[in-house]
Amino acid sequence: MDVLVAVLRQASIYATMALGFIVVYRTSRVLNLAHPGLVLVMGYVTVALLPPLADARESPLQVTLTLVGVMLLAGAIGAALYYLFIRPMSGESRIAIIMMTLAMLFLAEASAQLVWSGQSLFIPLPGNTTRYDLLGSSVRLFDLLPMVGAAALYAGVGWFYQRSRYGVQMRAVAEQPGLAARRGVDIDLIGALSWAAAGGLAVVAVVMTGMQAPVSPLMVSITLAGFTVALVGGLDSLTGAIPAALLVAGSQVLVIRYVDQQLGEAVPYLVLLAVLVWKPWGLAGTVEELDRV
Amino acid sequence: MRITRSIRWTGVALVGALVLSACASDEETPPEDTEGATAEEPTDGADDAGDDAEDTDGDDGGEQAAASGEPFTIGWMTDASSVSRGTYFPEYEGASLYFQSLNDAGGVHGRPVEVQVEDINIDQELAVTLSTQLAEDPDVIALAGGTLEGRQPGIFEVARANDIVFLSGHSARPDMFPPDPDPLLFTTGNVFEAMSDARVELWPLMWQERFPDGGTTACYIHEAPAANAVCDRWLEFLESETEWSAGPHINAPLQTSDFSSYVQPVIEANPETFFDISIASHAIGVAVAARNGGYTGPIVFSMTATPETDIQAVIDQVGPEEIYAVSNITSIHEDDVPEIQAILDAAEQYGTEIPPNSATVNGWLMGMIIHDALERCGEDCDRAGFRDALEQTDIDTRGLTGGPLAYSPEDHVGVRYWTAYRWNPESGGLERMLDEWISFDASEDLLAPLGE
Repeated sequence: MDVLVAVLRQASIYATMALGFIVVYRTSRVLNLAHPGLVLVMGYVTVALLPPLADARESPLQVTLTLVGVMLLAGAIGAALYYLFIRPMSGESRIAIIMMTLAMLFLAEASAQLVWSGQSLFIPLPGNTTRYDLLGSSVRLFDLLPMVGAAALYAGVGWFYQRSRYGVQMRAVAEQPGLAARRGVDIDLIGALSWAAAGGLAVVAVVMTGMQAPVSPLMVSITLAGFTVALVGGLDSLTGAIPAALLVAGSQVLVIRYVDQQLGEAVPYLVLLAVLVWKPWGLAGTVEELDRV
Repeated sequence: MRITRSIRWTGVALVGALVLSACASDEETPPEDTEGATAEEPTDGADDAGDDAEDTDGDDGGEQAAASGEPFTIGWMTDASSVSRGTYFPEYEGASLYFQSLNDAGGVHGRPVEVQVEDINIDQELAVTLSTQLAEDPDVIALAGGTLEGRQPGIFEVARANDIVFLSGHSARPDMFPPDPDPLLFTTGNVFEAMSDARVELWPLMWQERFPDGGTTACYIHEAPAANAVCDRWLEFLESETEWSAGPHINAPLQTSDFSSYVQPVIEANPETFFDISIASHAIGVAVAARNGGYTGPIVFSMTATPETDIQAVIDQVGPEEIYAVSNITSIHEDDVPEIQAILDAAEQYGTEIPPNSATVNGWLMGMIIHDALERCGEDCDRAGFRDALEQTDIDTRGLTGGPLAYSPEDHVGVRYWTAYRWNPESGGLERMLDEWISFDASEDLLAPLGE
């Protein structure tokens, strides 16, 4: 049971991390390497803005409102990044845009280092010691929340793409940007929306990760594991990300527990290599996307 | 044209990142703090370090003027900005506090001591580059500080190439060990094998009342060359020399931040005790993950790596029950020790980025050692003279350790004294679990040769 919980929890976190890459890629075909940097910075911002744990336990409403505020802030930052750095690059080669997002990652890491000096800080979240008996096992609330959260996120994002006006426009821009523009879709608005969504998702991912581990510069490596999930699933595929997350997290948890702890952090990349050799476009990625990547 | 534009924007972002990185490195360079202290008027509350300067000078009967003139410069390396900052930065701050107090009280031979600090992170290349920069500065009389044990050999080579002393803090290496230490390398820290062997004696003493027949203990350290010495060697000798038996030995790669899966063997084995020794980010993450996973037994930190401020971070998350620490340095919570109070007073007067803790105490102790060597070296002390003086160190640490600290031509580590603390939920601080300190002489007490 505990192995199952560990796999599902880890898969949920990775899937949420992956979603940040996927929403940007699906809309703009930009491989957003800046996302781990945004996750890192928003992790520290979240710690800075939330009240200390003792106070947070007394006022869960304040915590909730603060987290919503941080998500909105992250969304605004994401949109700003789009308008400042990505929009001016429209029409440029994809490699140049990818390099731009890489530069943004370095910028975010350097900013976090400048402001927070590499500290390891726990996010003060009430409920961190709450446990339930589930099928004979004691399970933490913070094990369950990432699972519920990730499931809700994927359902919500899936619905958004299928049913909402902006979601449909995002798909249109992703498939035929020129045609979409001629049909009156505001390409820039859609691009900014996807980056804003990635910002908000970064905060969700931070909170999920913060339920297990402190915010530290090492958060970048967790997010990169999420990136491997996006690649394994197929960069433009929501449905591929779920089995990919289970595959990566499952392999990692099992290797750490039963094979060799030293291989633990390498497992996501080993899975990525294996899957890309077998299916270069990922488990469920669009085949023609290979050329674009 | 389009390429030009893309290059321009990418360039802007990259330059921004580089500028921020540079700022981040420079930000942690507060020698101006120490310089500022030299320029200040003497304060009424000149503390023990200042008093010490008066005492050892022996030539000033009245109120001391602040130090002036050409400073003695110590090149200090620390991690100011990455995952081991919690372990190493307070050490720099402790030394800095000591020298600010000393300078306000007249300095050494009337000259101030200045700390020129560099942030080497846990980056081997950076360590070599910045230690070279410091060592090639003719004004720098000695190097001190350092970060992870595994990052030190590069600094050693720099010290040797420039004929300059390196006094390392928390982490030591066999290069300093008796009976044939490198002439230029000294430490207030611990060689891991020696620390492990000392713990073989300490552990049964800690638990003699609660587990008189011994028990099982687990051990955690991050993946590192020292992992074998810290956990395997300790568990092996604990089994052969005591009633205790070895539980799981776990270690995660350095880049790990979520330890939930890694600590599972400990949770499943549910040992009587769990020794958690690592850099700050790992130690606290592992402890919280173990508690979250359901381990309720004693978690024992090593304060050499996980000082009180990091222990407090764990307690904030998972509560204060069953938290312990072993240490070769007096805890900052023992404020009835006058020298600890002096550190707290200095921290209040001059300020620190991280609240004072046992690493600050170790830095202060390093300051005492450097001060003592400079005193004996003389007004015109140079690198060679400083080295010779350092080798004759024999100081009363005034309660900061369990006994005096002495170096000799055959031993650049000296005797270490170990004790144990428990967290008192009532007082919200550490209190002594053992009244006594056990002594460990590296030249005589090793249970097996180094590296075996």
